[in-house]
Amino acid sequence: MIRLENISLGYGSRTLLDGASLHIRAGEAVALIGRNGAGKSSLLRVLSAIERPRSGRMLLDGVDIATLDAEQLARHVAFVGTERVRIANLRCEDVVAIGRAPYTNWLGRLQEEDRKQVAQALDAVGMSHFAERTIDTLSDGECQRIMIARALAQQTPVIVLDEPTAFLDIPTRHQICRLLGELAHHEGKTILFSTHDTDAALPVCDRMAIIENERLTDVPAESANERISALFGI
Amino acid sequence: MQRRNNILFSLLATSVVLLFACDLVVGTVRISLSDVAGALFGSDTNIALQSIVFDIRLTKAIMALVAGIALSISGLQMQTLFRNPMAGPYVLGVSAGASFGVALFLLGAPLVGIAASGTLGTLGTAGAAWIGAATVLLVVVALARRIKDIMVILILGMMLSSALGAIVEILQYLSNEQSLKSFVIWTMGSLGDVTRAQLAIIAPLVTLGIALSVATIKPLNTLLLGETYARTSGINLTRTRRTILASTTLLAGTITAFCGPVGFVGLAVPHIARMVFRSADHRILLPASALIGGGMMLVGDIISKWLLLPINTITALMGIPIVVYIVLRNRNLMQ
Repeated sequence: MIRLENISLGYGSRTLLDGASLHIRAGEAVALIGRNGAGKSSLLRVLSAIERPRSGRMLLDGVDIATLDAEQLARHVAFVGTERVRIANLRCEDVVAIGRAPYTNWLGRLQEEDRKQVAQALDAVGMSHFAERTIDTLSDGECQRIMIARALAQQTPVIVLDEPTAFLDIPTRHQICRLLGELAHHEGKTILFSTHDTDAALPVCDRMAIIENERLTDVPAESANERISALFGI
Repeated sequence: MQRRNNILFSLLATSVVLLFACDLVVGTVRISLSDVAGALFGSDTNIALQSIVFDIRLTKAIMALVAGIALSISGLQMQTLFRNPMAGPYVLGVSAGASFGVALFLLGAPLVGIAASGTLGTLGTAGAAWIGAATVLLVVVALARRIKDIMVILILGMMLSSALGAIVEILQYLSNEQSLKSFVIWTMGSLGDVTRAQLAIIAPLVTLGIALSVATIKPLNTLLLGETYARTSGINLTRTRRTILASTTLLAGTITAFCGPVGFVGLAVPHIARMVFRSADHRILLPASALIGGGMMLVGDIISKWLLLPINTITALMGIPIVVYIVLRNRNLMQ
């Protein structure tokens, strides 16, 4: 599904990742772990084609994403960022409907199919009854669910999430991680998310990708704890 | 929701028509509504009356309407593009650029011994303002190409404005009383100096600006969530930014060139539209801002004719309380 080949990342003279390769199969949930500033967000931004790597390429089903335009890419990869969206007068349903942008006409008019997808996405994250609420009245956890629903409405095989459990309380962290696991294992989405929350992420992810010392290591979930202890010396 | 919006749109459109009529009736010479209608539709052949109604009042009322529409749409675009409730049509230096152009023309030219007056003076002022505004936006667009962070562009726009403002002040300091006065009067804004011939230049430019703004409705809706989301939702950001900046040059640049910097309409009106329609959808906000903006400028023009004051002072006094009210009422307006 996703294949990273020899990706190198960095800013100015600073190298974040050197020659990283990774293969993620369809329907897998993979957690990306690493210290603050290790390059997790940057790698996810490369995967969503928001940034370009210094070198290397990323293949989606064998297609180099550098060859796709913004709209084609938006039909393959959906992104959920860390930015908190708090806009007055913006209803949750409308936020989710923004995920339909790659499919709607120049004015963004929703068709029957788009409305159906929006409703399904809201249902999948358990937020159907919030459809009419405005996003500024939601808690952080609810807001995060809406942003995930927006990504689902985009109907992409791949969803990339940057620290989806940040700012959340302990129960909500676990709920969000469980949701991501279900989306991968029941809905067949390929999910890659960065997190510091190994406790919540481990039970739901198939593998962990760890960034340490400019290297990307791929570890099965079962042995992740030992590897994390060894790598970070804890 | 849909029904409520339809009612609101009908009410707004009716108010704009009524205000337009009202604007035609109000003026230093008392003319009744029936006389105005007579002059407009040709049943009254009084030449003086026709001249007042057609050449002065109708032109001015159309100008007020067009200016309100243009500045409000431009303000809406800037607020969404920069995700900043305090952004307006002038945030990127359109007004500073126009002022700079005008200052060079009105203050700089006499300093080196060139002076223009009459029609040439008015057209020259407008042309200088337009060139100044467009140049500033071109510089911003050129910078925007290399800069990813929209906030940096905003800061550069503001710094450029301040720098140009400083140069304008130097020119003011060096100028004689007469050129200084014409410049200060220009900065106060005026809808009355626009002739029908100029209106024929303004109308197509503003229409093109509006057309471009309509083309950015969908990108603007995705930009509500920020540039990253817009981009990953399949929006071509570079093209969107360029279209929005071109639209703002045409809308705010043209109005400022011919009427001077008219403050606060572009800043306040999009907020009123959001509050009235309780929506963040640009398919609603764009026409709503256009109607409310047109109406507000007509009110401004009516008041300015009544009190014989410059339009800019009226729009500021009308706009500031609205902005203050909205900011206090809703602190997390747009993060």
